[in-house]
Amino acid sequence: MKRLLVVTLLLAFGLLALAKTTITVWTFFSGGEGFLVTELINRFNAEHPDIEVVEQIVEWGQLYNKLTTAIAAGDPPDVSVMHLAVLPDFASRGALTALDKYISKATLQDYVPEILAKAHYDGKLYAVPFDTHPLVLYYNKKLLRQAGLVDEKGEVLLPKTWDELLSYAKQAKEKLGLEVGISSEIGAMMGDRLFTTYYAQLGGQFYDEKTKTVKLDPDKVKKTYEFIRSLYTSGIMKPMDYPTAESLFQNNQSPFHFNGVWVMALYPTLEGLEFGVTRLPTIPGSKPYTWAGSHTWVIPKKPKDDPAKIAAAAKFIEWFARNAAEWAKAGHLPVLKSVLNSEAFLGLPMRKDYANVAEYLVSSPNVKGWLEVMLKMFEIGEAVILGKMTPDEATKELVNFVKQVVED
Amino acid sequence: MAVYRKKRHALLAYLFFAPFLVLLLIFRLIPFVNSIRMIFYKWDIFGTPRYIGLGNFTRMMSDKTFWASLWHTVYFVILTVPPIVVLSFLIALLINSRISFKNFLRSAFYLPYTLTISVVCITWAMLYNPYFGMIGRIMKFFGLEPINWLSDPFWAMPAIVATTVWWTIGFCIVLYLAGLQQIPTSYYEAAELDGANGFQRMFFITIPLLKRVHVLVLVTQIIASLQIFGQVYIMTAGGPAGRTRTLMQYVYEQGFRYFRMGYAQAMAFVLFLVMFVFAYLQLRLMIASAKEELV
Repeated sequence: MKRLLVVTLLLAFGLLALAKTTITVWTFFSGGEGFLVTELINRFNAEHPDIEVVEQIVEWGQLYNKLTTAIAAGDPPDVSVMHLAVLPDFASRGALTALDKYISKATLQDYVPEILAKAHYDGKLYAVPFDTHPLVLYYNKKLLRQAGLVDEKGEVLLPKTWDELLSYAKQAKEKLGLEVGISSEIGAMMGDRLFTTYYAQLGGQFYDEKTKTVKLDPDKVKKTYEFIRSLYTSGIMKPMDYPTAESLFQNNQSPFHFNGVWVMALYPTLEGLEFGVTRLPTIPGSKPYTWAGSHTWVIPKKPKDDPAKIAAAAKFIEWFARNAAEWAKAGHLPVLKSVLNSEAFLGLPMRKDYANVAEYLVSSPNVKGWLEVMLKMFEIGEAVILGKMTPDEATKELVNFVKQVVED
Repeated sequence: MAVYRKKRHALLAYLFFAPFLVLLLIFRLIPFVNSIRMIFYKWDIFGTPRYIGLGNFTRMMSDKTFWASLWHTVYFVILTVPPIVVLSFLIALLINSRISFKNFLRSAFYLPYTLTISVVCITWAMLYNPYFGMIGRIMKFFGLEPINWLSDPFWAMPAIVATTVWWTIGFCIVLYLAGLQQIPTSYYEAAELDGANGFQRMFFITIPLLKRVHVLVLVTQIIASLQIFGQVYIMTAGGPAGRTRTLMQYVYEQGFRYFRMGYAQAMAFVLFLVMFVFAYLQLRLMIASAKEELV
């Protein structure tokens, strides 16, 4: 009798174990972002006894290399994180699983349309975006007050236009004898993110969705490079790398700071830093267009599709997107309208101060090879900032390069 | 009987070799042959390679970034190798002389070589930081304007060179120390009896007798420096404005970021040819000096 019980129990456990689908997920999140992802995965596992999601953390700079080789070797993870800007490079090469049949209509209809459109390639859905992360303007309240940049009520003045930002930054820098008026990394932050923002505000376009062609406006590109160059020739900004730009702002040595919203997991916890966050200034008469990246989940293609696994993986990534209010604690904006308007999200501190850019986000065009263009933009931006290229030369270089990459 | 034993010995030798040979075959030779084949193909890793003849090489000819990267690599070699050779020789002389704290000095100079590349690069990047780094603070103390080493198009490469020299010099010092200890003291005693001064002892005994070490250090350092990647990748990512992008960095970018595996392999092949020339040179010089010693 006893033996029978043991056998039955063993069988029952065995069946349970068999029924459980294990899903491996590659992420590159660390710090505050890392904790939030792990927490959400644990919650998913607790709520779904039939699925076991196992997270594998890959170093940020290495994820795409490893993913590429893993897919080529036929042994990729079941799910991976992927920036929306990189999606066309993988989707166009048949490296990802189309997700149209796996994600529910209700969720798809809930998406901010612009983001959902970018998650498609050639009419098929290849990614489930779960955030956008715009570039924003951080300001140091203590420094701005010391510099006398306050209104009658003693509230810190916030720049609405670029000219205002430059004059405030200059005033604070000179009055307080600071290193810089605005701190920012020169590569990605200026060459791509700020460039894209200012260029879009000038009315510039990268890509024409209708004719499916790349469209750069040389005049507006040049104006943008001239603007970026002027930030440095005026002495308001100095060339520096990312850690330096952050340290200067965190240590009360820069009144303003360009960075993405992802630092919102960290900055509020820093002692001695009294800061605020707001959307980037605008060119008068323009809408507040702002650069934004986006994190998505993708299901890499395997030599042989396992429908049960794909379904379980899809279930996880859809669930994650729906529960992104939790993820938004890291600073990111949700991409589902229901989450974007939820109490859970808007109740987070300072989110109201920048959530209003959600309608004006500009992300990378849906073009194969854009990653290469993006990295070239970092480089050209640096060359302009360092005076190694005139805005005119930079414009020619960019326009030619884009043409070359798209035609390759 | 003797023949049989010889055969058995050979068999045994190959057997002992086998584990290494198998690994060499799988992880070196087969990939090497494949990568040489790939230089004639266009291949994005996922799809099927497409034969394009010399297409990758014509692309290289007109690729400004390739030429710039090649030049940055050569520039790095020019800046790195002479100080490594000269300094490692001088430091080895110092350690080999009759000074106190010999063992301490030997370990101190060798220590950096045992660190991993990321530790070295991240530490040096901190030192180089113009606002918070130690070098900037020292410059400020002496009333100098701190230099933004890694973000400056002129200084970025010398900064990477300084880091590299600090990191790798320990190995060359050890080679020179070994060489110095092989020179019989009787030569110096004889020279001293003949009235040779320190200068003459140095130039007529020490330096010529270290010929093989000079060749070894020089050539291995040239070959190692041609492959510079990690320092650049971690400290500047090829910046600012691409001024420190080396050939290996560009190979990596083209292959793994932009899915141009064939092109990347073709460029790596060019680097291979350059290194092959130096390796061959080393072999010739080594053989020549070995013959000399036999005479």
